[in-house]
Amino acid sequence: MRKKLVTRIILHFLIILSILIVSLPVILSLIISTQTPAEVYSSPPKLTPSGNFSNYVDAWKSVNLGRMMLNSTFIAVMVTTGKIILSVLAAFAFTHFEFKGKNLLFFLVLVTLLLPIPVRIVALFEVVRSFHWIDTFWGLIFPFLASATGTFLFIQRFKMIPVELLDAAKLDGCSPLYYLWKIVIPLSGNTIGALVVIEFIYIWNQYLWPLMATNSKEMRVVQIGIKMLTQTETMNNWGIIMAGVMICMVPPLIVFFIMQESFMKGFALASEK
Amino acid sequence: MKRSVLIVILSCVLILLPMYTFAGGAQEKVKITGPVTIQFWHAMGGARIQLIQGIVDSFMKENPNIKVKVQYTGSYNDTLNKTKAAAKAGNPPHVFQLYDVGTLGMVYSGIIVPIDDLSKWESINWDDFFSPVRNYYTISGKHYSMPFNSSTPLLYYNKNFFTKAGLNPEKPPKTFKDVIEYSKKLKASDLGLKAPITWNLHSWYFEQFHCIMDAPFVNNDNGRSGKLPTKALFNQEPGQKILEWWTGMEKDGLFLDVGPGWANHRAAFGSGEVAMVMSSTSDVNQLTKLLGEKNWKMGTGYVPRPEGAKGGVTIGGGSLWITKDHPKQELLAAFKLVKYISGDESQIKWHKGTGYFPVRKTAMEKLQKEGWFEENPNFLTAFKQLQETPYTVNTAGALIGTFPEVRSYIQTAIQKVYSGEMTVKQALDEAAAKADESFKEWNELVK
Amino acid sequence: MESYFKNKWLPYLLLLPTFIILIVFLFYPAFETFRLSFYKVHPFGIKKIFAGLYNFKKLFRSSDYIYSFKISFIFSIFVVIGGLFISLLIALLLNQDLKGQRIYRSFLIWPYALSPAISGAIFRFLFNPANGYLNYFFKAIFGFEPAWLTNGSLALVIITIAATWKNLGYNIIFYLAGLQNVQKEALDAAAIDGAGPVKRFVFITFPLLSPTTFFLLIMNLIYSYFSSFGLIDVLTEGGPANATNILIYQLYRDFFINSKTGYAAAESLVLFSLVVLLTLVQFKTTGRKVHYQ
Repeated sequence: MRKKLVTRIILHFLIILSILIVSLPVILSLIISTQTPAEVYSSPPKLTPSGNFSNYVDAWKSVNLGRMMLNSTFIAVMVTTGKIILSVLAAFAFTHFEFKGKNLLFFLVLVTLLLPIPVRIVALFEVVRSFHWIDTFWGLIFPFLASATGTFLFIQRFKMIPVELLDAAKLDGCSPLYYLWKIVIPLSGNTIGALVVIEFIYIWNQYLWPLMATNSKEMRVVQIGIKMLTQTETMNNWGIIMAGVMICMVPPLIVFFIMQESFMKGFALASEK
Repeated sequence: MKRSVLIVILSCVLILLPMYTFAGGAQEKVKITGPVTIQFWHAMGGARIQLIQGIVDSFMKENPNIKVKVQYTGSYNDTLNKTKAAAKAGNPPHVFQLYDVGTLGMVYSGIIVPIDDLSKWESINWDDFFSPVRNYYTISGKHYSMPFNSSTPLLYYNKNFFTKAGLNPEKPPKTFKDVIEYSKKLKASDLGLKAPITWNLHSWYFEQFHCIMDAPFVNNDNGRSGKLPTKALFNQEPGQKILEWWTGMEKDGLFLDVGPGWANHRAAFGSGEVAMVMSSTSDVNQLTKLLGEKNWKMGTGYVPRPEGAKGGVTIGGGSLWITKDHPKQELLAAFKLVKYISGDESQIKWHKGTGYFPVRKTAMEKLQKEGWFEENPNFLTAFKQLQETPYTVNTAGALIGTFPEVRSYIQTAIQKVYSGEMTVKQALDEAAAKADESFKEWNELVK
Repeated sequence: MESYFKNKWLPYLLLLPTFIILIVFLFYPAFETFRLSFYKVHPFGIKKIFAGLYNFKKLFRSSDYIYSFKISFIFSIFVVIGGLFISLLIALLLNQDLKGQRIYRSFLIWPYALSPAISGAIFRFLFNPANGYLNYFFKAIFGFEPAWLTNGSLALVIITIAATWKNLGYNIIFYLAGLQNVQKEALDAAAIDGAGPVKRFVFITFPLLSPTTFFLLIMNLIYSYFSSFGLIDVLTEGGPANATNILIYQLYRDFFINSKTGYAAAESLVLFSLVVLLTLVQFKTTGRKVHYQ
């Protein structure tokens, strides 16, 4: 059924309008990030961009954004990779094996849903401290390597793989790990894609834990850098602050746009019961 | 009876203390033999990061055996928290900078070593320090930390706006009443102001006004009697008077509420949203530059006081602490560093770059000889203001173990008055009750 | 699935890494937090005094904590209702049979990549009391300038908008997935029966979407209670006068700034009960087992 022309025009208009509203805060930030200090402090505010790109250089330098970007990227990549590996292994165990205590262990994984970071932060801090992991990459990576999210996502995916494949593999005398590597993982591309996006962005955007678990400038992550920018700019030079914010937004956006298709498919799949 | 016992004990301490220090000096000698690396964390953002690095660089030039890793670790609160975490993790920085109000907490932290315990290795001339500065950081006769960046509040005003409003640009308001009168005039003239005056929402000003009125902030001689404070006194008449004036101006549209933090009030002043601002003396350079960009002239004046107030401003800012669990050579290196930073050369560099006071008399004399104050009269205002402060336990500033917490109660109280939720008295009583509770718990834990 | 590999030790080996992490970084800290909530702890951790229920008593007597509870509740309700309503509308638009939907979709779900801290910084820039970007326009339009961040209620409004905005992408993605799963045939059948688009939405689409809606409701509640920390820290630091001091921010303050470890542990336990409650409700009603951060 084709819609009427008028209906279509109205719909297009509404969508574009929503895009504008949703993007407006970022557009304004982008504009101010190119303005000179005089323009930033002017009243009425200047509504058009200028060419003062030195803001980006200043923001980059003032809180050592380069190092922070590297840190955040490294941590996000490590956690994402580690979590995918651990979740795949766990999900494979839960779906392809029968063993004693399976229900109990599954229940324990389930219980972790009840323990988000804030619930255990007081003692988590003590644990990481006792390992001398405060202000190290380990302290930012290890506590996040296992979670119910990934395990459940893979369990759902693995359960949808036709049983015939497994039976055939068993007839061929194929080992479990070989089967996992050759059959199961290649069939889970979209789930992996979805998890890459979820985890990368989750870790990249983390705030509370890195705030507490790091203290040297070498170990700071991007999100803390944003707060530091607002504190270091002792006169609210929004040009520089927003330039920093724009820089910090780029990596997760890139990951998001590159992986978008498999992410959406992974999600659609996940929401099929 | 009790009193005489106290006197006996005190005199014993007074006699024994120097003996102890002397004995220590005779016993051991520490020398830096090989290369030593120490950590130094500070809380000075912006252009000050480079300034501190510069001072440390020249220190390293003079002491080629010592390598100092300098780090800007965020606000004072952030730096304190990071130090705490690092101390628990067993790798605290050798030297860290902490705000004035963290002093008592640090004394009882169990992680620091008093400067006096290290000066047995290398002497330091305490008499050269300005007495308000020295007094603040001396607890029961002992120097715990090295004064570094000292400042007081100062009133800054836009001379161009004063002229346009028909006010004498060379005569800043002096009293609470003056401020209201000036503000009314400024408000009445067409300057496009949001409000005539502002300062950031911070308990620091509230504390400073207490010093100006020579009124105690907490009991037990403002926490300086050797006993820990047990009761807040800031909800009494002086405190009420201060807040009535402060929040009253806000109600009348004379005062712009810019919230907490240290950027908004400067930005409001720099962009011409207000004509007067109170801020730290360490802002002289920044604010002069900011106003200069718009071709405005800036004047400075003393912190306004209620009529007849007898006290004066107290120092704020920070000092440098040394943590204890390090090899002796590293401790000595740390001591040398803090001594160098508090030395004339560094203090002059620091003062010129920021506006913080030089903490030493000799540094000040050198600046005077150079003619620095004639060229920079705004710095002189700040200095004179501090010099005029008489010494009492009240003007030395309060010592409170849970000061950061108490500050947040006071700030909340002020905001509650702004919003009309409470009267000044109600809000202050509530804050004082919470403060008392925090004293009780803290005292129990550090006992 | 009825078919399994037969191997005695391999499944345990596969689960081992996951469980090491879970025990060390999840179960043990959770238990230890529980234990610490019964102690008073020296700010620098050099002394611990057993205090029984002291921390909990203090918590529930504290007007600040009760207030924080209230604020969190209001904040979360508005984030949930506002967020779900707007994202459902946008998802419906994106689900129309139109040219360019793929591109439109990208431009509407990108806020998924936003972080709470960035959202906080941007809203600070727009609404800051001194040289905030939008101040001038409000004054020009309304003749006065609302004290966005220095008035308690308005500050709550701003953090609600900022938090909702940040979470739009997430919500839209789920609603889109949900809408695509709504049986097309059911809708077509209804269209043949002559039901208009509004009627179709109210009687068919929305009820079919209810599992998604419910899932998002819980996830947004959890988001507003926990993940909005960065937003608050950058934008308001809990102020003015605790007006935006949600539970997680109070916890951070007590633990990290005021160094009251035991008290903060007790607060953690309260949060834990909240999560348990929400999760139970979720299981009871949908039986779903998937969570996304």
